[in-house]
Amino acid sequence: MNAPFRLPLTPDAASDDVVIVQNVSRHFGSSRTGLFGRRAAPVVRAVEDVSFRVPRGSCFAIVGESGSGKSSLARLVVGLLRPTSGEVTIGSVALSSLDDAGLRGMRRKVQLVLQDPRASLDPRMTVLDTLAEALTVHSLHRDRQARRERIDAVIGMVGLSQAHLTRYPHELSGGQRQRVAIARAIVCEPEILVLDEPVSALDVSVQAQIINLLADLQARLALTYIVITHDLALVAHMADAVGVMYLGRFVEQGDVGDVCGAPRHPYTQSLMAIAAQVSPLDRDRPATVLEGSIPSPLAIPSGCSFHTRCPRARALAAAGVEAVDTADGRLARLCVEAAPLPHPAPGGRSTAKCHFADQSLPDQSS
Amino acid sequence: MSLAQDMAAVPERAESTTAKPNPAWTLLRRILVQPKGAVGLTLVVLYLVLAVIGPALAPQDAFRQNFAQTLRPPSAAHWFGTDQLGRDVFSRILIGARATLGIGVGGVTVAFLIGVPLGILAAWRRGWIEAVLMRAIDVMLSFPDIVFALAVVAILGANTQNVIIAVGVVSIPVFARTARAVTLSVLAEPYIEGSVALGASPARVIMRHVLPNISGTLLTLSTLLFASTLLSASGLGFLGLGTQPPFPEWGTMLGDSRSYIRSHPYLATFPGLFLAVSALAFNLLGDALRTIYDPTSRRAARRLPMLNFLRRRTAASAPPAAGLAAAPAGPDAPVVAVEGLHLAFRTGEGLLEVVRGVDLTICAGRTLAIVGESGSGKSTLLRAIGTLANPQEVAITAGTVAIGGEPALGLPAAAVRDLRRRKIGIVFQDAASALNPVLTVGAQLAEAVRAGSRLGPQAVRQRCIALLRDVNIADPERRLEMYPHQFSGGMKQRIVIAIALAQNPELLLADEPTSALDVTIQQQILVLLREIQRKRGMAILLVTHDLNLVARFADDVAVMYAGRLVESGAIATVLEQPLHPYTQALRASAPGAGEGRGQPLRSIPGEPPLVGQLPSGCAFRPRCPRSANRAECAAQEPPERMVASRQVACVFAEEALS
Ligand SMILES: Nc1ncnc2c1ncn2[C@@H]1O[C@H](COP(=O)(O)OP(=O)(O)OP(=O)(O)O)[C@@H](O)[C@H]1O
Ligand SMILES: Nc1ncnc2c1ncn2[C@@H]1O[C@H](COP(=O)(O)OP(=O)(O)OP(=O)(O)O)[C@@H](O)[C@H]1O
Ligand code: SF4
Ligand code: SF4
Ligand SMILES: [Mg+2]
Ligand SMILES: [Mg+2]
Repeated sequence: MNAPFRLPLTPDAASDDVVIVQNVSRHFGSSRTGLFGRRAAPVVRAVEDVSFRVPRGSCFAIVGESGSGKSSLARLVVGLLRPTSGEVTIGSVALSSLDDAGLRGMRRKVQLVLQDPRASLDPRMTVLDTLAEALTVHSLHRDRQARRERIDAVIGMVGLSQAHLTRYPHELSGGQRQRVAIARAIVCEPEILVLDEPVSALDVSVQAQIINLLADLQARLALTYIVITHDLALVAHMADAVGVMYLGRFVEQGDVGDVCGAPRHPYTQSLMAIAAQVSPLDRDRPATVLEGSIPSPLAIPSGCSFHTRCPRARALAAAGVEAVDTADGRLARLCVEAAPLPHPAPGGRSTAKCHFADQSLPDQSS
Repeated sequence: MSLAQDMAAVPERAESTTAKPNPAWTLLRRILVQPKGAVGLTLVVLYLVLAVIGPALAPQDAFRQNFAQTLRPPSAAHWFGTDQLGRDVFSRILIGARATLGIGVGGVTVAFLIGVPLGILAAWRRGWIEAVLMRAIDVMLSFPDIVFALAVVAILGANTQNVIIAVGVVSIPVFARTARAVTLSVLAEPYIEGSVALGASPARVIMRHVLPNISGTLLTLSTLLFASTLLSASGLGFLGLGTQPPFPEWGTMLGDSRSYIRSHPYLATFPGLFLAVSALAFNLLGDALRTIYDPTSRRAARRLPMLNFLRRRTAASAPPAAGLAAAPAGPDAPVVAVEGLHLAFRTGEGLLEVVRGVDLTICAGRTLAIVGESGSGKSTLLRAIGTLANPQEVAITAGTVAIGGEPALGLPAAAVRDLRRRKIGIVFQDAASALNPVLTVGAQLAEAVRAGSRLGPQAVRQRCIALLRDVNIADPERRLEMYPHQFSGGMKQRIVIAIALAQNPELLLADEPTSALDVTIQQQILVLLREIQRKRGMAILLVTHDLNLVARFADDVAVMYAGRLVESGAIATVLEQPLHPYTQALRASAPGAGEGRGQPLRSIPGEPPLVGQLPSGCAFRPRCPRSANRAECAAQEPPERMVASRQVACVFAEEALS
């Protein structure tokens, strides 16, 4: 399970990978330093053994269950969090080799748009100050006039007007704040943008404008994106590759056409099934999607971490595969006892961490 | 002050860069428009003047002792009487102003300059530095103030400068402690992480983000400590270690008068009065400055809504408007009925109207979804319906809101609280900022559960756990003890939903409640809400951008553009055959709505509307493909009318039918 795993994505262009994440794990709260020394606390395994590569000029999307560790992974990539183990390499520089000052220098090239746009803007700074700060920090456009021109240009790109520059964050609507956060990230012309739910607060029209802007920047400047989103239609539209996260791990990753078009992991399959559903929810008949509730990252299930909710493990047990009885019903033994390795898909363009990824079951969705 | 006049003042909000007034004058003007600022500034200036020219003003020799005239009450010759050595108290107060100011301001400055950096350092570095500093401070605080001051003066020698240092040292622990506490809570805010992610250095983060955000608290603390510093100085004086005897200083004078407090109370009265007034003056001025530099309170402070306040009072006591009286009360009454609602923000430049005449009703057990342009006023509308529009910030310029058949606007504060608690649950748009970063999630949930109920602590805990389980947060027992920053974005959002549901509301106002949730959990939350709707008939007002979600979950939909509902009706009607060009454009913009991978998505061309500068006639006109400069569109704001079983505000709505 800990064997270094390389995504067979673009084997020939490997040298042009600007972001390389290798077996990265991050645990929270393993020990707490209090006044009275170290105190043991439950460990949250937020990110566990994640690896992926992003070639220059491409877009990698991360999707997954809420609380599965996507934002933590984003913070690891930009160096806001240090990994418990593993290594992140950005443009051939290993982040672990950088000290705080080195990281600060690197941040001009790698910008992060945080998930909550309201909270990530200083309430006491106007939009203008917020954008100017980004330029000041990296000593860009030192000339007043040039600075103002750059800011005016960027604020227009995200669909805001100059009138918004004098406002404070609380005087903006949610979507306007989100666009300010995006403007702050692109104003200093980064090479890599990590966007955590960048368009969730935008109406579809403005959303389209922002996505078109990102695509345009990508085409002109060969920007690289890592996008976290819940919108699978958006993933299909803009991403080249995608990683599906469940309880801190990538359960399926690879080419976006493969993963979204023909998902092989049961979790990805259920995501796609719901996303495709457009009929109104029946008010009089409670419907469940996935059986059971999300396990706690404080106590990750044994074997395959998805086994507590996996419809396939259940179906296999019913179909006569060697099975055991658990609190969650009768499940395939392998699922409960052994952690699955990544199984490459037939074309080799994606992998799924499921013992039975290649088992085509007649009826998955029921 | 009519609405029309206010609106006339709106237009140019942007370019104030052309002729910049002198910042010092601007500041002065902004201090003086606040009553507290005007009073505080006047007193402080008087005080400063006194410190400079006080000695020249003194009518008598403040040092001449006259044993024939000791302890005289105030008279024409000695306005404030004489002291135990026969010196003129009035002259001594005038002369003492300078030393008093020096010790008070100097002492607070010393304490501030040492204590605040220590506190910030402790909060920033945590670890052993914090432990050591906080222990040292605890030790210092366990001694009486005077002991420390004495020690310092004893070591350094008694003169005015050392007295300043001594009284300053006494206040260091208070500053350090407060600075640490407020810094910790500011550091927990995500915007700090935001600027770190930007690449800002620690020094910059502290100077630009931490200090401004803690300055308000520290300023207030400084003015409070001003008086107490003078009192410690007088304690030193009393022990003969303060400013050296013949030189007067108010604190010392007050200290000296202690022995005569029963027989000659006026001796304490005047120095005490001057001391108290000077402390008050700094306090008022500090408060005024804080109001100016705190952007969240600034706009409100500029136009003190005295008149509005009175107006609101009379409005509350007036009989309910006709439209409202007609609304049927009783079991069939809609849970929410909004009529002709207009909302405007009070800004420095006048009223900025963001909601311009909205009518809507939601019946029990139904869900109304509001979709629309970002910045079109959805959240503002939702907050007003939830009786949470801050009257200092938002003016309700027209219209009515009724909740459960009762008018909800203009109620007295207690009634509003009661209404909110019993009937309304709200999920705000930015979940993370709706939670308090320094309280555990358990504490915040428990507060919501307890409000207005008499549950024992065990029952409250059980209910909290059940609520967290409802919104699908694993391991709720352990999660209760965690702080908001230890949760993921979607978890925070679910916690806010749990808090909103804690009181079993009749009406749930949900602003983008699932924007951070993946489809599986979103589905589970929707199923939960459906359950509650089915069991208790809860009405839901849902603001969202996700048309897919609207299609799956809502019964009715209202599309908002530039503060008005441009199209509303049942979802099947509106989403399947939109008639308003804006609704049609929304349908066409969604990713997956036809454009292939890698192709640009279709967004609505043209500038989004800017509130306060809307075009004449139909607000959508400049971007409308259907209008093509037809005169009808510019003539007037198109009224809402019924076309093909939905309300739509477009003159040419019928054209979409063919
Ligand atoms: N305190 C304020 N002072 C002045 N204008 C404000 C203030 N708060 C909000 N606004 C403006 O009012 C308009 C409506 O804001 P609101 O938050 O209601 O929009 P919204 O429809 O919820 O948008 P979004 O979908 O982006 O959240 C926006 O244009 C915003 O810029
Ligand atoms: N500072 C922290 N201390 C302890 N636990 C944390 C901390 N930060 C995150 N976690 C935990 O790590 C897990 C993953 O969190 P993360 O924010 O990465 O999730 P996410 O995938 O971004 O979810 P969402 O889609 O809801 O935003 C969660 O269980 C969360 O409680
Ligand atoms: S390994 Fe078993 S439990 Fe895990 S996803 Fe595959 S079938 Fe389900
Ligand atoms: S009234 Fe005219 S401008 Fe407005 S939406 Fe209809 S056609 Fe377009
Ligand atoms: Mg997240
Ligand atoms: Mg909003």
